[in-house]
Amino acid sequence: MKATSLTMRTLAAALAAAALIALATTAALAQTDGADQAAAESAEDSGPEANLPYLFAAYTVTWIGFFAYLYHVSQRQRSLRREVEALREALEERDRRERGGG
Amino acid sequence: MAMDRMAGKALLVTSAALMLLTLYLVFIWVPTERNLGISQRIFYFHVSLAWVGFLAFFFVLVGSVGYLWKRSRSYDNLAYASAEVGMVFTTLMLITGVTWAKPAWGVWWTWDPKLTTSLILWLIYAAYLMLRAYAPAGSQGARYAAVLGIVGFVDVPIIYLSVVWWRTVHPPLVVGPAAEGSLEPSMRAVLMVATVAFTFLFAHLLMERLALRRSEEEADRARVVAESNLAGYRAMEGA
Amino acid sequence: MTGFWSAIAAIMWKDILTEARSKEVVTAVLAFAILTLVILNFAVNKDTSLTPVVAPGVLWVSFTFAGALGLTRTFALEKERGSVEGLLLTPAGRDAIFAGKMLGGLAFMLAAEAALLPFFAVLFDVSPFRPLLLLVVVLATVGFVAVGTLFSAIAVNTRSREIMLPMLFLPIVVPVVIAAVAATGGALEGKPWGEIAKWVQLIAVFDLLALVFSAFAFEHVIQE
Repeated sequence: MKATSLTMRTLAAALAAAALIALATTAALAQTDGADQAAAESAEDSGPEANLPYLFAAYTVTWIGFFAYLYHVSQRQRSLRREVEALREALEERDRRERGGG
Repeated sequence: MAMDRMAGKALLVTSAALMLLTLYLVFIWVPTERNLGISQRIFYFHVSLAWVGFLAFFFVLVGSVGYLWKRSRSYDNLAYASAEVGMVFTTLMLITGVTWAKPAWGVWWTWDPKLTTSLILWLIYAAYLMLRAYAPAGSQGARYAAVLGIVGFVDVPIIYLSVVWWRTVHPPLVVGPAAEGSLEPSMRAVLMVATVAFTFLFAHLLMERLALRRSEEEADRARVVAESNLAGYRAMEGA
Repeated sequence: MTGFWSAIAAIMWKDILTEARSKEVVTAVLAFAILTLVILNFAVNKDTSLTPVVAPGVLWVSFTFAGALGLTRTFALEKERGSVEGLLLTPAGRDAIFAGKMLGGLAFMLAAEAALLPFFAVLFDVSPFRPLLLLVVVLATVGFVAVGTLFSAIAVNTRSREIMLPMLFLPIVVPVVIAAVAATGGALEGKPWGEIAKWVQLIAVFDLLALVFSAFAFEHVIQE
């Protein structure tokens, strides 16, 4: 139960972060007067603003990294809980059958 | 348990709020650095990630020493969880560093002492996690990991010293960004907020990883119990 | 006290004798290290003016590979025959086992280095018979082997141990390898003691730390 809510929370947060980053990137790219790929390629020799792609790459990668890790942890947590649950049920099943048959 | 969950939720909320504040400060509030341009804003994340990475590996040291001394599982769990979370931070620190080096220095990588030491640090803890995966389970693997957790941390200053000396013989071609001492007050404030935010995020991730570790142990115990019980049951049924 | 030293000598002698009889590891390691020397010489020595810059690095790359390969075997034989427990049952203390194993590894690696140096001298046209160079090689090998022996005892009990040992201890010995490369370069160029003294000091400090820590940590590693 808790694991499920954790996964949902992670997914929701990841989606929200992705949306935020997408928004911010659009806003920032709009600021650079419709700078397109050509501007990005000549990033080194034009003004400081042209380095924006690097800035957003760094921040995006950081956030994707954290959410991927949280997602990985929650997935493992969930599969472990499921396994423990299945084992417990198998044991209870055995007890019941033993009592019933015994 | 309820206390645990409350504390975890409080940590998550605090770190999320601080993170939003950091994003606001970094992207909107703080002025652009004159010489390095807009890409200097990577600095706030990069340095905070580095600081938290070191903090995490210091926790690995504490957990390792504690385990060898007291032989208690909780110290071992602290070391393991902290090493894994620390690796996430250190990996991101290296990636953001590389992404900043390209616009700031014109190259993705240079053998600057700090970069070299960070990369070796990363390799040491990658080996640590490999050892945790490949070593036998139980106290033997925990002891092995504890030894590496201590050696690795103690070795870092020596690595740094040797690399600094090595580079003094062959001076670096590129000049690094301004030293932290000459940071403008507003920039230093943003860096402080970012560092605190990442430290809270680290605490949250560490709690989650420790909870996962407890589940792993619980699953291991359940497997052993189920195996012995069901094996006996199957043997009886077969007979 | 005599028991301690004779235990060390016995363990070391046992390892040297085993190796001297089979020559299994020495042959393989030497062949591999010589191959490394030749390939690196071929790859970087197009311009002989670069020799002073690249030669020390090439030498230590081949030493490092030889050491990493050889040290994998330090405990592998014992593991295969299940004789670690036997070793632990003998009255020899853990530190005596460590010292004996370490000295055996040291003898092995120094022998390999002595065999490699002439090849190096021929390929790079340098004279290896300089007391300073020999001092640097011996000192750096001590630290290298001290750390390597500790991690060899760890790696032997893991899955895919041949990969694990280099992964575990090469990042740790980075300082001693860097210092050895720098000091070797200075010694080959015939620089005075004063210019390489700080590197030799770094190696000596590393040796001391590695010996003390490895001996201490070995007790935690090998207990059952």
